[in-house]
Amino acid sequence: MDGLMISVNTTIITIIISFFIAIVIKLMVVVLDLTSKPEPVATPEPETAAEMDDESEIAAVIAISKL
Amino acid sequence: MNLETFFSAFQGFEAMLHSTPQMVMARVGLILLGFLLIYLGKKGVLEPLLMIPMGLGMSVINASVMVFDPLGLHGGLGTLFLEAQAGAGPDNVKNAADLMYIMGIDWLQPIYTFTFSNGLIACFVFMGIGALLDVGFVMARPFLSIVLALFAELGTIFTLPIAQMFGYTAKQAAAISVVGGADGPMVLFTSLKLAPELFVPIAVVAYLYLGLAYGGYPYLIKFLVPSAKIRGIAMPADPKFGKYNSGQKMVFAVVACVILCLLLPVAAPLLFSLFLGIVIRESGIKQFQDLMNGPILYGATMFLGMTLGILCEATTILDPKVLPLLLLGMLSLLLSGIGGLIGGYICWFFTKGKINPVIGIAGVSCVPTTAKVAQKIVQKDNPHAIIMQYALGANVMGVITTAIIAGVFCSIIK
Repeated sequence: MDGLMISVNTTIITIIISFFIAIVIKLMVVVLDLTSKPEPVATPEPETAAEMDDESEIAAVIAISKL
Repeated sequence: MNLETFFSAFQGFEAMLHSTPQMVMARVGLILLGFLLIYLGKKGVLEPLLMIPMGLGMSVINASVMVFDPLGLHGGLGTLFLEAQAGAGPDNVKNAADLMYIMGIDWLQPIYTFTFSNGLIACFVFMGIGALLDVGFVMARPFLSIVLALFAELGTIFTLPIAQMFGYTAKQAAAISVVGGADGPMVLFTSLKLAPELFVPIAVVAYLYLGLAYGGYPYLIKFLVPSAKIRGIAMPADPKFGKYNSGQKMVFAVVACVILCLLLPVAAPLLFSLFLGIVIRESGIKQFQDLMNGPILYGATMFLGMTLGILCEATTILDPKVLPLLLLGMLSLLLSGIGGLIGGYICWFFTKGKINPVIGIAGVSCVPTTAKVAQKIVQKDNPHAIIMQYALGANVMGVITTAIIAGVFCSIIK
């Protein structure tokens, strides 16, 4: 096949596939935006503190049981 | 004791005595070029990760030639490193025997045969590159990224008919023109698929020029975008860039990988490797991330640079087929750079000056070198301008368009 024809054909096919990919990306982004859950609300400070307390309590129990 | 007996004690000098003066000069020149590559790599003018092992490999291989040619391929001279032509003849049985024989002699032959000849090293590099890529930039601006990437393929498209004018076949011309995509693993892959007989010179030329692009593209940008005011255009940070979480990016990567493999099965090994890296990056599996980012990427890059340097033996470089390749490779990369900047200018024009045209160079898919070059140039003229995110989007899309073109070449050229 002639080099010029290969270049022309390749350019056309590449443009079609590339824009197809770009459209797929755009559609996926729209679908992901629609289906994604809202950002989880940050855990309030006292709860974290309670968790930390729980963990430290467990650590204390383990430490005591090892004595 | 005559001079020949004296020199036979020093095999490197003995090999020089058995060579033509042109060959001796070429070897000395390549030894010095190797030193220069190491120096420029250390100074940061050229890509050090590639140039330092490549430069040392180039110097050493041209110093290590001796009177030794077990397969009778090089007129009595050879090395103990590797034999790129082993197993390349028409007789399969003899090829297998030669390959097994030479693998027991040349220390780098197993690495060359089992990682270069089948494209495995290209896949390893792509896995590592994938693990560094953030597809969030492409998801945020897919159309801008694709337009820039398509323009930056100008060299790939135009070099093919020009290479045919130099007497190369359509397959060889296509393999040469992929150098313009500036995507090293893709160049290795395409030359193996389309023109295995030119694999060594194309790979050497491609990586040599990819290293030089790091140093040469800034001058091209300054030449084609002479106005410091335009070069320093600050692009606002797009809130979409940080919008997508890792789960969304993973879904995107998985679907895009399957679609691209469905469209282009010939490029599937490379596409799979690239997207595997991306998926692992987004998966949060730290052990795999560390493996991809560290040993796989840097191990493959080091062996790639070293082996390419070792392939730069004077007999390979002085092959009459290689000289036009040196010109075509440079032309291809130059045209791609020009095309990328034209794309940048078109986007700058249609957005009424909001897009910095310099990001067009990042459409040339040498990840992440060209994006880094664009950011460096822009920041020189405007220290507050950050264009890296836009540039990386074009960079990632450049990898995809080069894969598409390579796949199309492999499919339509019979």
